[in-house]
Amino acid sequence: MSPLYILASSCISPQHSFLCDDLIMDIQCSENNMLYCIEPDFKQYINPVQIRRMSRALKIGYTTAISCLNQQPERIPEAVLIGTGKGCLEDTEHFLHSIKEYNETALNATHFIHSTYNQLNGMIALNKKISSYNMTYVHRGFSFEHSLMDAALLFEEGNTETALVGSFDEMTLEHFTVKKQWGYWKKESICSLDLLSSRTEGTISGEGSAFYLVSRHKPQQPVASIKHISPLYRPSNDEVTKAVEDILDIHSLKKEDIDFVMSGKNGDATIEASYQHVDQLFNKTQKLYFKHLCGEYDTATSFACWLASTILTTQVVPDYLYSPTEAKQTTPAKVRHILLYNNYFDANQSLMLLSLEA
Amino acid sequence: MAEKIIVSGMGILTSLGKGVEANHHNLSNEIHCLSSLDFVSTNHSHSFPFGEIKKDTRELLEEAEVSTNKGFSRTVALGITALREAFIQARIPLNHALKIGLINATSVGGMCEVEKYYFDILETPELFSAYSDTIDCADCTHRIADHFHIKHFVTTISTACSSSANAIMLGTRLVNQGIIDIAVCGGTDALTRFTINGFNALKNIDKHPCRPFDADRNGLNLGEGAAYIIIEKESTCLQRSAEPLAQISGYCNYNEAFHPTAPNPEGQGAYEVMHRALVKANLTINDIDYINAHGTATLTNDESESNAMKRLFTKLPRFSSTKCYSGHTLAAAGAVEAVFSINALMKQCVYANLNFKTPMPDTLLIPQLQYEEHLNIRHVMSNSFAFGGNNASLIFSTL
Repeated sequence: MSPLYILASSCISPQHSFLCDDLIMDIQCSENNMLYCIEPDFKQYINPVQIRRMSRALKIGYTTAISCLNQQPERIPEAVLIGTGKGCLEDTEHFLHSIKEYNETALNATHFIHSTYNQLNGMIALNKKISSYNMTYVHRGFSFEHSLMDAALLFEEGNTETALVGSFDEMTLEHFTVKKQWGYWKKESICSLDLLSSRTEGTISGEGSAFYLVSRHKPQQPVASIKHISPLYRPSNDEVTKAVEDILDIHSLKKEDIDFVMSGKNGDATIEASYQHVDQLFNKTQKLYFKHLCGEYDTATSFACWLASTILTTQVVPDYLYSPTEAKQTTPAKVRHILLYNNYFDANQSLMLLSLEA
Repeated sequence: MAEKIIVSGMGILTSLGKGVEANHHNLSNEIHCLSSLDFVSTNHSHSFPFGEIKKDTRELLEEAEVSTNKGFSRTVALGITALREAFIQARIPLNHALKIGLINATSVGGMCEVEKYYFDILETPELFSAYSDTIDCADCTHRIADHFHIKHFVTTISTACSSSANAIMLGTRLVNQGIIDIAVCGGTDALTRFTINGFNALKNIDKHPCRPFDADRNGLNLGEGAAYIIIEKESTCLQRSAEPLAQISGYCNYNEAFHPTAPNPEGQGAYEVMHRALVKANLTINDIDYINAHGTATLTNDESESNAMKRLFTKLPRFSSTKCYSGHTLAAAGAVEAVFSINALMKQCVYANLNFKTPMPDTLLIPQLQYEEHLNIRHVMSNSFAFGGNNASLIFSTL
């Protein structure tokens, strides 16, 4: 695939990631199995008329996207590609409640319109006057991955130079409660920072948004690139192994060339085995983790991608990414390649290779 | 020159019937299948005509040959039934070494089930655990993919009313670049109280059967359905002695960045997307023989689309909207109309635009008013325009 060179990125998450370009963050934790986004001052990015009507997810997604575009104001992307597993959940819930409450009469259409999954795509295109290719992927743990793949397809096809690719997902209290009953979250309350050492079933919920301005051409200055994306649908261990081998082969890399494996391990005993399998494939490689910082959600890999790309460009590997229970190896002199592996409730697993392009 | 990307199978289920032939039968006899609602619990059952499939979900699931008690939604039942027809026509054997992908589209996924149980779920979630994941769009895609053992590429697109046109476009591109050998592309959407109330709140549902392109049109009718087409390279298709039905010659996705829900009345976005699809197909305006228009019969869409067609085509080809037969099937509409468009090529026919009396004063355009066959139809354009300014146009051609 055509590499995606990251020209700019922005991330809103449960950590102080927004406008943080050096990964020096005062780490936040929660004690109730929910990690919520730290909200920046939306008013700096959204006009006062629009902001009143926007739900939290839209504000978060929109602000992330605009702040990403603002970093390279001279570049107008020729494509807007967004992944979201659940869209504006709060608007969907709100409209469901109003239908009941007002007995199907005199309903306000705003929540219905905002529950449409491509709302954020439309809003970004409209406000930034980006008349071009525009797509919304809504496939759980593949939503972000497929948005990236679409950008790579566009670059390969040759008519697109720059694309805005991103994701957003929110968790509402109502949805958290329902999913809790269905066993998605841990029964016992844990401190989010202890997630990696948890051995029980279930995980903790999270949310966030990350956007990337990606280019088809390698810029002059060193940047991170997304070189490979492998979405794997219900793969066996062998298929994961094969996908890893293919990635290494295609990019002429050896296992030792991978400086870090960034693992989506989420403390859920039921899918632990798949992570252990990848750990064994890279038994000599240092692992980094991120779900204790952002929680589990459909597009959590976009947060991981933000961490990995920032590590590559800053060459800073913060301590909070290491597991407290695993031995820490010496950091390589130069971090060049990070392989990301994620497993979203077994069905959607993905591998992503990010590299430093000096 | 790149190899032709062709369609080797089609499957459809709408209120017009199960299967391409049943749909064609009603279309060619100019019979619409809009009625009051029997199977959605809403106060609006008798307020508007709907393109409802006259079977309850249990019966649809049985027809789809899936379990009726494992949280399968109506959306899944529609999808599996439509997809099976396409698979059979494309002669995809059970034991194949092909890389097959499913690019599915839906606007509300399993909402048709979730809304029935939502408040019970909040009270007693454990009783409804079979539906635990149906609230999103991916649930139906997973279940359809698993039913047909599709695993090489599985995704869901949701760009409102252009969703499945975009699915067809993505499938074509994935096949073209060799990422998969066969793309199964389309969409599925069941009628829901959620959507009916949403469109009612937008005040754009007609109380009568809709009148696309008529000066006195007064909104759309909602429908439900699913449709899929099988997309592959011509050589892949011929290798297993399946029959290529039509070629996908052009396509474009273009956001007009005009308004959150309304199109530009001048039709700027519609013009651009049709123009760019023609360029992609390497065709000129004179090559298009029939346009299956988006034609929702809302005030704004038909004005915008008419202006765009009039501006783009010096001599306007035959055009009609088929939403007056089946209702607007939302995320499935692009694929439903792709099936109708390909059928127009295969049968060398064009479908009539029902309920048309008076041309719009500004454009004076008159759509195709009768069903006609034995025509020379070489290239058909199919338009799908959506909320958020998301416009899509596809061009299918004879081989």
